[in-house]
Amino acid sequence: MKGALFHPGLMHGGYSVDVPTHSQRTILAEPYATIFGWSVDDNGGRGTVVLRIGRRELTPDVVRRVDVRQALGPRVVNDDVGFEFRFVAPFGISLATLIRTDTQAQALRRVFLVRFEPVWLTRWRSARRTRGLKANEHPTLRFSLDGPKPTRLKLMSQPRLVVHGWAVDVASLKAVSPTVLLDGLAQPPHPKKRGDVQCALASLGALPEETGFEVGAELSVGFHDLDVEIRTGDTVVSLFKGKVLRLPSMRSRVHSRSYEDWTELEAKLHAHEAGELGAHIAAMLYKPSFRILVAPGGKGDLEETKRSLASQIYPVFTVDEGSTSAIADRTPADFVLPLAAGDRLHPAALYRFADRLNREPDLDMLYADEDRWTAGRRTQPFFKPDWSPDYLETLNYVGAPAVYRASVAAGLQAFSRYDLALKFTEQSTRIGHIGTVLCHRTETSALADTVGDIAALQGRLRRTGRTGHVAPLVAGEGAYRIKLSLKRKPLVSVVIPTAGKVVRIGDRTLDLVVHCVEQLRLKTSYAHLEIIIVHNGNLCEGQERDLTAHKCKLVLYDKPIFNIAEKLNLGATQATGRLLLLLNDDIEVIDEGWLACMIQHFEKPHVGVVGAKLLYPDTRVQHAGVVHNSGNPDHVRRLAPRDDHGYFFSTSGVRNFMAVTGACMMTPLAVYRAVGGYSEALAVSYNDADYCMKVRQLGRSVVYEPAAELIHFESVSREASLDIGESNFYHQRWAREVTFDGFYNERFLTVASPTFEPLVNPRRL
Amino acid sequence: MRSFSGIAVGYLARGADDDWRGSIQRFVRSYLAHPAGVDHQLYVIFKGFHSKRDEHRARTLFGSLAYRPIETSDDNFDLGAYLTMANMVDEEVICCLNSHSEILCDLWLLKLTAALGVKGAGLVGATGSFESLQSYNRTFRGFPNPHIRSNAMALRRVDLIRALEGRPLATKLDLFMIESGPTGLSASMVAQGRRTLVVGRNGRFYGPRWWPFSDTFRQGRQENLLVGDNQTRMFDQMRWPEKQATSLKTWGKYLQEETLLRPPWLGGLRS
Repeated sequence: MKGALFHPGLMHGGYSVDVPTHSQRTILAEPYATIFGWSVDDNGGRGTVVLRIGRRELTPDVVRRVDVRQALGPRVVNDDVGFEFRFVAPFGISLATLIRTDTQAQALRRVFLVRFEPVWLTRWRSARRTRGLKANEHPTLRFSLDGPKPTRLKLMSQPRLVVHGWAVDVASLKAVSPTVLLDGLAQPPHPKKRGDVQCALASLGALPEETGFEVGAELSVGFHDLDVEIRTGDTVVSLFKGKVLRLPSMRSRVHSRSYEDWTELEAKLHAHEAGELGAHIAAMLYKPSFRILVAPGGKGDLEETKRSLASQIYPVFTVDEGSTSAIADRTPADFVLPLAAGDRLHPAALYRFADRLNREPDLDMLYADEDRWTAGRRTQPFFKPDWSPDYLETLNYVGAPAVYRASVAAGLQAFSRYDLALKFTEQSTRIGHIGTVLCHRTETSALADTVGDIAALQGRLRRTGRTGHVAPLVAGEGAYRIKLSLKRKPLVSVVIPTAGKVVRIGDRTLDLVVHCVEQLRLKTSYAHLEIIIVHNGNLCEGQERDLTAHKCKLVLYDKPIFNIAEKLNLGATQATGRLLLLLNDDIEVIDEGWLACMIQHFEKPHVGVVGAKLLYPDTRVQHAGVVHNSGNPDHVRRLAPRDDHGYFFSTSGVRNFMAVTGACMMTPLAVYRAVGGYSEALAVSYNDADYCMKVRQLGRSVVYEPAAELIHFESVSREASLDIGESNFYHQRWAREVTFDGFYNERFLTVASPTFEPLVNPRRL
Repeated sequence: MRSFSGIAVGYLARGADDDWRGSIQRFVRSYLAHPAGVDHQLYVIFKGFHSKRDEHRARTLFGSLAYRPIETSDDNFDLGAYLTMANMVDEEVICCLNSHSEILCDLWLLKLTAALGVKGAGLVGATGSFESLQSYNRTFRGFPNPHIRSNAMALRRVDLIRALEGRPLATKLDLFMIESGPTGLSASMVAQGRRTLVVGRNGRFYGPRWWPFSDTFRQGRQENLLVGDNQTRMFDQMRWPEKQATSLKTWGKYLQEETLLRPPWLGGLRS
């Protein structure tokens, strides 16, 4: 029972991953990889594990493990506790996560798989010449490349690469600076003194002392091209031409912590920083004034709120008692901050607002994160997304604390804080978010007013020219669902790329594309559709007949190399509808109203993309929005149950994200054309997230619609794969945008996987 | 805080740069877009142009902008040019902007010079770094090596002359020595008991311990930058893993909040 281990974090069950051992990276020179071990659940039965690689999720073969039963005794009920995954590893670098699913989903092991083809090594021309002292090699150049060392493939686990050596032109007796290209980008060499070279070549004449060169560069994980060459006139002498592979680091020196630990640290930091902040306040060029409106409430609650106001380090504010309807009255101020009795402001709350307004004086509204004050402790942090106009129609996520420019708010006659947020954001979109918890609310101060909230949302519908019905998502929780009566019923062009596959799913045999079209024609209530099928020319006669019977346009894609972006763009050229629905052929409809739920968002002019809620065949969540984790797009809340509400209704309510999956994505055809459709440089992966990013650049929002529920037999029609080149393309194109995901707080929420659970991660940027 | 008897802003227009036109246009655009917030005299230091014609073209890029030209040779890097300027002008304070500078917010000069007016302040800048060049040359102090970067820095003219006069400025190493070396600008200020401060777009003056939390140089989206340059733009354009590696190289463990709670001498941060 090699490597047997009872994990200390598990009360009763246990597991062991026998292969690979504790190594966090596995280098593969062949396509097949194996991971095996055993897992016992809390009852002594077989623990369920799955292996996730990119978007693929694999189930293991069951293996008998008598040794485990013998070793662990009566605790283990059966022999079949072993598991084995044998799979084809994706080419390049990928992350394989072994997850235990019989209890709360828990990652048991993460392994970086690095797969390459041995034939590459022979193909890589390592035209390296580390010595150039012979006169017949070049008439006047003499050089030496002292590093990197002569290997075909340089492996590195540290990020820093140093290229160093020396070069001289003996005709002119001058130092020569080489060109160092890392991934095609020139890296400036720094001159180095090389007395040894000066001495060694003294017979040739008086050489300068600085004949050396050195280039240092930080490498990211993955393959890199390195070229070192000397250019003199028309001559190019190559010193090194090869590849460098940086492997992921095996150690993580800084660990995550709980929110409770963080609040303790944060309190100490605040005490530590108070003097600095005081100096800043004294030196502020702009000292905005705040008027704090505390709504009536219990005496004790009011006192708690006032006590927190008395401890503010920023002094320019006044306090009034009154509701939001009193905004226009009394004391003039630059900004107004409504609070409920019982809300406790963080001592630095007003300072943080003033600080941000000094940085961005044009902002009209600012809100910050909040948590709950329960039994004298801070709990349930709400790390809010950046400005999310569509999420605001699900719940008043802006909540408290939020400051509103008084000159704009004064004329709004808002009857509640939710009404104020809705009305204000119709007047101004200069809205900022401070990603710090600045208010601690109690159960009573955060209590929802269902009648008032519904009235506020109905007012919103009226003001924005929409008609519909507002209903609570869950009674008394302050989250709502809007169902519109569509004003218009635009033609929707559905583009379905297909390989015409017939697959076995459970006990059913499905002709995917025909099944998909039947779902649209027979199980979808919205009928104003045109269906465009983009096929590879391999549809059988029966498929063509069925599709034609369903009035589909058939478009032939005859390129030899698979490129989903090209296929979708080709289909879109045939579209005539106002809206375009990009749809995979491996989907199945659950509720006939799904399409209308997506269409209704386009009655808001700011919406650019709408994505659906996709479920695995076992009805667990497959897609409920895409967030970025270290710059990589990833599905949030994957494997959650279908009826999961998610983090502050992020799964069950309409919400904004940076991107949604392209498996089912709706967008106006005009927008699709305005951004040039899908990027064809992204043949397989990232093209959907890339599209969303392009649309967001136009100032339009990306919306996740949970009422549009579909089953998605993900990657049944095609094997999932990850192309490093596409990954690099995406990372480079959106380098600034994905630094932080404004809709998912990577610092304070789980990142591997992004399950939307509070966890304070080490700061990485 | 106090006011100064004259502020000189020296912008370096360097003709030897590949894209000197783009650099000048970027600077002029940003200078016109963002009021400085305080009276000053703009000097443009023309340096390293291949021909008089190029230099003339460069001058036309400044349009109707009121400035005084200074010409200098290209053999002593940017700090040498600032020294030349310091010896020619008589303003009390000098703000040095290199050829890649781009002003990013209103009242930028007022914010910079206000920091210099703080009691004990000797050198202020839009960016600072903990990076050490010890791996290149052992003379440099090891990490963390807090220093104000020489782009978009402001200091008293007499301090600039005192720090640079008579020092070799012929090689890149000389330049690095002055920027982050043990007897460089920042180190000599600290040795005199004076403060080195980074100034953010929010107008806050950050002492070295707070630099990693200033949201400026090589941190996150660098949203609190007062003045950008080629290095900050390059960071913006880096892919995430490179960004992380660069951030780590610049700030190391000091990116983590808990380091603030340790006494500075235990954390290795001596200033």
